[in-house]
Amino acid sequence: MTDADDTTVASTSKSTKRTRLRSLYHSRKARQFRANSLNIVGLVIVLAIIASALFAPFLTPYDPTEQNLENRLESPSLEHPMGTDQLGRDILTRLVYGAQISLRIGVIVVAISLGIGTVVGVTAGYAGGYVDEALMRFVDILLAFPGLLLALVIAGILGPSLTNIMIALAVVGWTRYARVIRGSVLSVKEQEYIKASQLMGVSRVRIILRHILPNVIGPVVVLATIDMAGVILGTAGLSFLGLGAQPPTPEWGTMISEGRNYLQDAWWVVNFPGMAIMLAVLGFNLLGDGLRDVLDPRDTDAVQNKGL
Amino acid sequence: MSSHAKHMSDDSDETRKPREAVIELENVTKEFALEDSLLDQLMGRRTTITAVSNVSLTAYEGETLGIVGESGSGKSTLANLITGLHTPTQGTVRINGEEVSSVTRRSPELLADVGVIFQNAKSSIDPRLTVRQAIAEPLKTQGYGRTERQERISELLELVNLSERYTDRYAHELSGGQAQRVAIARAIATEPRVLILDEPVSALDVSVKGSIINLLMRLQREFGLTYVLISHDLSVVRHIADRIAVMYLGELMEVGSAEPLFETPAHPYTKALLEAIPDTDPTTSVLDAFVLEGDVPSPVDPPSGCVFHTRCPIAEDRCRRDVPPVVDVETSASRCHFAKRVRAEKEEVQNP
Amino acid sequence: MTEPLLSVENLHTHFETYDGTVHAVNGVSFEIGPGEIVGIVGESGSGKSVTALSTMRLEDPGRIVEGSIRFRGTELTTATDRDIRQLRGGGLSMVFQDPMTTLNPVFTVSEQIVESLKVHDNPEAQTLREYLRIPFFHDRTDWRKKRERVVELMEEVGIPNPAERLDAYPHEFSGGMRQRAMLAIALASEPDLLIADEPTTALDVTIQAQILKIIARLREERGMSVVMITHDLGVVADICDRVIVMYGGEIMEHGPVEQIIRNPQHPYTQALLECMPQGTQRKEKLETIDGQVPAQLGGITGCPFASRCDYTHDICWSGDMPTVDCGENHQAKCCELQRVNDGENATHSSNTGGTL
Repeated sequence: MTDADDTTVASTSKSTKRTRLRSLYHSRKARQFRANSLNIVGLVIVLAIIASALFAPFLTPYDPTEQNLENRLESPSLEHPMGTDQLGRDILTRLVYGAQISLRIGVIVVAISLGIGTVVGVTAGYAGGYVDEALMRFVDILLAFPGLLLALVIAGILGPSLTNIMIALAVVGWTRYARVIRGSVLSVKEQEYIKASQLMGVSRVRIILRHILPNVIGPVVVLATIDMAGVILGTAGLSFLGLGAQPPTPEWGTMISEGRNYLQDAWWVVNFPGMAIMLAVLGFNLLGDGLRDVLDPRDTDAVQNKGL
Repeated sequence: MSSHAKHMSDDSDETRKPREAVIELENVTKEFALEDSLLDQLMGRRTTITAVSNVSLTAYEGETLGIVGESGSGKSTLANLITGLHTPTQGTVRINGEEVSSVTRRSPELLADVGVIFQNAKSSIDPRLTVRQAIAEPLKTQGYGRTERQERISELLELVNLSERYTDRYAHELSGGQAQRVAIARAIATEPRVLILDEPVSALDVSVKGSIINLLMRLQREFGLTYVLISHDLSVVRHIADRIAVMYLGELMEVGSAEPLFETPAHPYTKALLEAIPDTDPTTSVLDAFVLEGDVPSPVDPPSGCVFHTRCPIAEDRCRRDVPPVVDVETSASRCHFAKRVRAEKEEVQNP
Repeated sequence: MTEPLLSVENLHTHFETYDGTVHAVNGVSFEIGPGEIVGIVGESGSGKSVTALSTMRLEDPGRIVEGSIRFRGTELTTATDRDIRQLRGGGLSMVFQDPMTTLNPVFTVSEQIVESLKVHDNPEAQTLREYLRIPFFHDRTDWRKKRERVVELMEEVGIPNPAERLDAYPHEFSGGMRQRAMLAIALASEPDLLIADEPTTALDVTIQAQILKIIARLREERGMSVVMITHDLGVVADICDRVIVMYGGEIMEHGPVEQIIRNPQHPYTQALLECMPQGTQRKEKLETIDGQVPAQLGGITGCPFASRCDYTHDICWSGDMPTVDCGENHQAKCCELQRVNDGENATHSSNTGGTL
C-alpha cells in the first residue's frame, strides 16, 4: 500500500514539518481536544507516566530492588519523598520503575488483543454468513466468562509470571476488540464509498486494508486507550493475588500486596502504589474519552454540520 | 406477462436511428427475499418482493436514458442490476453485447467501461482519502503508473473544472458541488463508455445543480458517453434525457422519446407524475392539478392486473383483471389498455 | 395585514464553532398576518431554517443575540421556558423535513397525536401518572374521547382508514403518511401558525402535491397561517401568498409571490429563477450562479451576494445594504437596484460561462 506518492508532493524538509506541526496544533480537532480541560489532564497524566517509565534511571538515585534494612519503613522525607518499604527500598523509585512494567505489559497486551481482535473482527464482519456466525459465537463463549476470573484461571494454570499474565489478559481481552471492529466493519461495508470502490474494481484485500480498516480504527483506538487502564488494573490485581510479578519486582500490585501487612504502621507503603494505579487508570480513561471526540473523521463540529 | 414486455424497449427511435446498444436488459426480474421467521422458513414459506419485474430496456450509444418513478418503483435496483451490485433473478443484462454478472466477477476492462455517480457525492468518497487519492483509486486498479496517474489526475481535474488547490482536501471539506465534481472525475477516470447517474444532482442547491448538469452534458458531447440517468426530479430528466423510461412498482409503464413523452404522455401514470411537478408559472398550480391518491402499494402483494389500477383515475374492471399489453403509440410504448386515448386527450388539450 | 400574528424584527442568530462565530441569521425582519402562507426560500446556508428554528425558540446550539420575535403580542426572545412551552402547545407548531427522525419510533402514531392533544388541553398537567396509564388510576373515558379526536385529525390530514391505523407505529407508515402524521400532531394543538421546514423535500412529487393540497386546505378551513421553508421556487409559486428570499442570513427580497416570480428585482432572485431548468431549452446549457455561498464566519460586510453578483460595484462590498421599496409590499435589499433594472453593464458572460 504505497499511497505516499499521492499524499505528499514530496516535500519533507524540516520547515514544512514544523509548519505541519503548528497547523496540527491549531487544527480544529486539536482545539476541540484542548477545549475540554479533562482531556488535557488525561494527556498530562499519561505523558507523565510514560516519561517516568522512560527516564526511570535518571529520575532517582536509588535502585528499585536494593534493600537497605537500616532504613525500613521510613516515613516520607526529603530523601525518600514517598518513604521506604519494609525492606528499606525507596518507594518512589519502585513506583517509577513499576510504571515501566505496567506500561510494557499494557502495550503488549493491548497490541496482541488488538491484533487478534482486528483479524477476527474484520474477517467476521466482511465475510459475513457462517464465518461470521462461527467466530462471533466463539467470542460470545469467551465473553460469557467474567474477564478477570478467566484470566485468573489461565494465569493459575500457566503458573505465576509476568509473561503468563500477559497471555492471560490477552486471551481475555481480544474479544471486545473483535466485537467492536466487527460492528464497525458491518456498517462501513454498507457505505456508498465501499460500493463505489467495488464498482471501480478495487480488489477485496485493498478494500479491506485501505478503505475499511482506516474507517473502523477510530473507535478501536479509543477502546485501546481505555483498555490500557483495564490491563494495568488487571496486572496489578493478578500480581496482588500473587499470580503475576514476583517479589522483588517493583510491580504496583505486588507492592500493595507486600505492603498490606504494614498498613497500620506505614500507610505510605500501600497508599502510594495504590494512588499510582488510580492515576494511571484515570489518565488513560480521560485520554480515551478525549480521543473519542477527536477521532471521528467527520467534523461533528464543522459549520456545515450544524444544520444551518 | 413476458410475451409483450419484450417489446417495451422497441420504440420507434431505434428504427429511425440504428445505433449500437450499449446496455441491454432482457426480461430482467429481481426478487428480494424478506427475512421470514424461522418457522416460516422451516415450513418452506418464503416471502419475496419483486423489485424489478420483467423489464426489457436498452440504452444506445451516446444517448441519455432517463429512468423516472417514485421511490419504491425499482429504479435504483435497476441501476444496481446494470452495475452488478445485484444479479438478476431472471433475465439477462448485457453490456457491449456481452452478458455480464455480478461486479466481483467482472473483468477490469468491463469495470472500466461503466462509471457510477451517486446521489450524495460526499458519502461516495472514502472520508480518509484526499481528492487526489480518491481519483487515483480507479486508475490504480487499471494499472496506471505513478507519473501517468499524476498526469491523468491533473487532466481530469481540468475536465471537471476543479482547481488543483483542492487536491489535498478531504471530501467533507468540499462543498456539495465540488464533491460531485470529484465523483465525476473519478467516474470518468478510466474512460468509460457508460455512466450510471443515480440522482446526481438531487442533493444539490439550485444554483449548483445547473453547473453539474452542464458539466455532464459537456462530457457527454466530448466523449460520446452513454448516460443512464435515474432521477425523481423530472425537470432535470426532461432537460437532458433523450429517451425516458417510467417505472412504477418494478414495472415499466412507458418508454419513449423524451420530448413527446413529456408533451403527450400515453400512460395515466406518466401524466399524473408530470402534473404533480410544481413549476414557477404563476398561472398553474399543483393545487388545481389532478393529484394521485394514496401511496405506492406494497410490493409484497402487488395489485392484480395493471399494477397502477389502484391509483389510476381511469381504471376500469378490465384493468383490475388483465395485465395490459404494450401499446405502441408512435413515439413511445405504453403499458396501458387506454394508451391511445390518454395520449389523444392530452393532444386535444394542447391543440383544441 | 391588519395585526400581524408573528412579527420578527432585526433577528440575529449566531452559532459558536471552533472556527469562530457563525452569523447564521443577520438582521431578518418580517411579519406574518393571519391566514397567510408565506414562503421562505433560499439555498443551503441561507439561514432559512435557523430563522424558523429561532422563531420556535429551538435555535440551540445557536443563540439569538439581537432582535425581537413577537407572536400574538408575546415577546419570545425573553419569554421563559414555560411560556414558550405553552405557546408551542397552543398556537405555534412546527413540521420538520424528515418525519422519520421526528416521530418517536417506540410509540404508536396515535399516542403521539394524543400527547400533543394533552399538551394543548392542559399544558400544566403533564403528570407521570398520565403517562404510565396504570389501570384504575387512569381516566379511560378521557382516553377514549382523545382517540376519537385522533381519528378526526388523521382524517383531516388525509390518512386513509384512520381507525385501523390507531395502533400503527411510525415504521409501519410510508414517508408520505409519516409527514401527514406529523401534520396531525402539529394540528392537534390547533395552531394559529404552522412553521413547515422543507415538509415535502424528502417526498416524491405525487406525495408532495398531496401534502401541499392538504396544507392549502387547512389554511382555508382553519384560517391558519403557514410559514413554508423550502428551496423549491416551484412549491413557493404554487402555494404561497408572499415569499421571502434569503441569502447569507439576510433577506434579499420580500414580496407577493406573483410579483417576485414575474418581476424579480434583486439580482439574486433573478439568478435563482434563471437557474430553473424550465426556463432553458432542452439540452441547452443551464444558467448557473458562479461561486459559493459565503462562509458566515464573523459576519459579512456589505452584500452577502456581492461575490457572485453580476452587478457588483465597489459600494456593494461594505456597509449596510439599503432595503428599497419596489412596489406594493415588495422590497429588495440591494444598493444598485436602479442599475440592475436597467440591465446596464451587467457582466452577464461570467454568469453563463465560467463554471460549466
